[in-house]
Amino acid sequence: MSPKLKFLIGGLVVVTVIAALIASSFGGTSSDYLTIAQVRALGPDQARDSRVAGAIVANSVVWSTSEVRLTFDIQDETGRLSVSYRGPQPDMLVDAVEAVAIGKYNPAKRVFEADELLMKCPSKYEEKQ
Amino acid sequence: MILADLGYGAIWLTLAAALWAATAASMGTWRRRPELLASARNALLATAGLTTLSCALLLALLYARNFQVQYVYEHVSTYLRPAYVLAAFWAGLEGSQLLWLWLLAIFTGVAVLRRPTWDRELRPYAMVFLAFAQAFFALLLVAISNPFQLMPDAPAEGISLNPLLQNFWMIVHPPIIFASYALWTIPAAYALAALVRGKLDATWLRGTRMWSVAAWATLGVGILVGGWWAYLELGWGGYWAWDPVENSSLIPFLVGTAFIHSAVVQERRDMFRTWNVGLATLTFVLTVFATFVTRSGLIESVHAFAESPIGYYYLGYMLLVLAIAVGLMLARYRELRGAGELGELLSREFVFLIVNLLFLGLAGAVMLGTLWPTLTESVRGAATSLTKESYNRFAGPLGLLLLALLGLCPLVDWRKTTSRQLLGSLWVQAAMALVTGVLLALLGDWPPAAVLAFAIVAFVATTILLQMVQSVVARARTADENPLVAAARVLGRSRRRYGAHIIHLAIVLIVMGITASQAHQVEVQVPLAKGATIDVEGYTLAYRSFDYQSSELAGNKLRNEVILDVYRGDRLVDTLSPERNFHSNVDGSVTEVALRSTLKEDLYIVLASLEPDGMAALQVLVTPLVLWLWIGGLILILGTLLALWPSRSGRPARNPEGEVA
Repeated sequence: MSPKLKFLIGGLVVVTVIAALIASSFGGTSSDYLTIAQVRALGPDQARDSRVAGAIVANSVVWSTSEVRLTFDIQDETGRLSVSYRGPQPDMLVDAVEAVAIGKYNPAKRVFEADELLMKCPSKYEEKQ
Repeated sequence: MILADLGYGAIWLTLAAALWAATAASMGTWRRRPELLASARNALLATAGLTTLSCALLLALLYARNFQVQYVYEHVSTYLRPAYVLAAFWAGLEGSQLLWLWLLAIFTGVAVLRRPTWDRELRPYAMVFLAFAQAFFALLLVAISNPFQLMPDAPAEGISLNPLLQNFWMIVHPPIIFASYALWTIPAAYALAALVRGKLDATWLRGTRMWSVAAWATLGVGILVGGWWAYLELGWGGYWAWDPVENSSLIPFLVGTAFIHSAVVQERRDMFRTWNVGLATLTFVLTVFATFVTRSGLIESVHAFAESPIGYYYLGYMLLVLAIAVGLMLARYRELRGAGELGELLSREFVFLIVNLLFLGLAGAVMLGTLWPTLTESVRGAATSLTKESYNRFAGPLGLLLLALLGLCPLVDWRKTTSRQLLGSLWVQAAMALVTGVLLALLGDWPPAAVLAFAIVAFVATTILLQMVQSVVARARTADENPLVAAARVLGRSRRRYGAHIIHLAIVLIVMGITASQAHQVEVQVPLAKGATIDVEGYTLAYRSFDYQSSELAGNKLRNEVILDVYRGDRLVDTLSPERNFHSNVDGSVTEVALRSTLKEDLYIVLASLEPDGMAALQVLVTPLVLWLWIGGLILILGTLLALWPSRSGRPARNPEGEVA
């Protein structure tokens, strides 16, 4: 076998391994962007990671110091959804700012249990965790 | 507004001078007219002056709080502290692009001021590409993102800078990143010049080595500083979230890392010519992509393209550069074949090939992940986003493979190694890896993946240290010197090689920090009344006092603060005061994290809320070995300085043995 062919085959094997690894992680744990109506339609057996975005409804933000829990409602053109998040409230959380909640919907409690909250800031630069 | 007009005019003149430089340099080479080449060089020196003037004027307008200028109005206020006015310069798209252009013009100026030596043939072509890059940014600034844009009338007060950006690291992080992007332009310009001229031996690589190593290290440090900022300021206890802005600077870093390693193969064995011109150009194009992602927000959604034409400018420029590079590579197909012959599969050449493929695969996957929501939205109509876990699932294994190769590579010879030779030379480090793995598996409660990672860390660290020690011992023996003298001599003689060793050790420390902090973070969220205590991971936190909404007019904020005494057992080790403040220019509150950093672990406390009666909610995180990321960053800087330190002849240190892994 010529060295060139050997390198080509060896290289292809490496490329295949890398590609397979990447493909498997992309297929696995991605989270879908859903509308509020789509989230609310999820049944008990359909719990999976999803992202849902909406404007924070005025006066709906409730912070419980004793539970270290934040609850609020978000709204889009398809409906309204209660979101519950355990942890410090994100910086600059205010009414009417668009929030992205990442987590799972709990149909029994009709609450979206978020593991992560992202605030969409009005300024283009202020992309942040 | 004479100052704003002057600043804007200077950018127009920069555009004109850059276009003239490109024309004169092309005509000068084509018609062999040295006076045209001299004129191109002068035009490029003029752009350095003009962009400096433009930057000085924008800075003056920011400090004068001249709110009639829209950029000033949007980013500063009368009460913003002077140090942060500097950060405001690069807080927006317009200022960032101006900074990019200025740095590029300065580096270009430095490059053309140096007496032509190795690059006598290539410089005119490189000047054309550098001038075009400057013209692109100048065009963006004059056509669609003018930092000197005036508003009809001047408001009395500005919007001010986002409090998250009011941090020392935000003053230094963006300029470091943009400096690295501008530095990467120079190797790319020479790669294209080498392609046009058909002079594709290692001359351009050796000549631009200093630029590319400096660009690489600057980008690495810039990314670490960004992580440090996120860790201190964003209050979630992490330093990396795989968000589009972070990813966009990581992608050129990965491709650039492939390039500086791949370059070694061409210097040593005259192989990988196509790889090297390709990787150098691609790195540059990806820095342009990163600027576009970071400052435009367009990655969020395809719809943003409809709102501003700026996306089309960037896309057009990136495609143009890539098309030129690919076209030239096809035209120079014959010259791209190097003289070096392929050896066996178990050879250092093949290891370097795998390294290239791994870095490119990693960069491609991060790129795909960054674009994933946009792609799925346009293909399926419904967007899907990658979670942090899915990034970790490919980045972890690929990163560890790369690390393992870093330990293996020095043991594999060029051309050919037998497996017997390889096995014979790696038993010491293999034993170290085994001992580390077994000890951690038995004594610690680390997950298996972390144990494997630490074993690889031990393997690689041993390989590097053995290499360093062996050459010192050899020198001490042959020259009959004291080991310390021998170490200093060896370090001084082969700076590039030892610089590389030190940089690799820094990478090992950083990987160690990443592994530990990812694998084993303890998090507690707890309400706490004044006078109460809680125990977390061996720390006792005693809530001593608080400060509820005390006003601080100078900073225009209301301060909420709790003061905690930190005990280890009965011993008071620290007093920490996490804050959550209200700023007048933003709605909602902004956290200031309290941190106690040690070599072993970080204690990180976020004040989640504070009631008027002092009832507080705290988030407490204990994360092992995070400090090693930043220590690794400092060592990386030292290693780079050593590698780049000019030798007495004024040339960058060359490595006589050329044995850079």
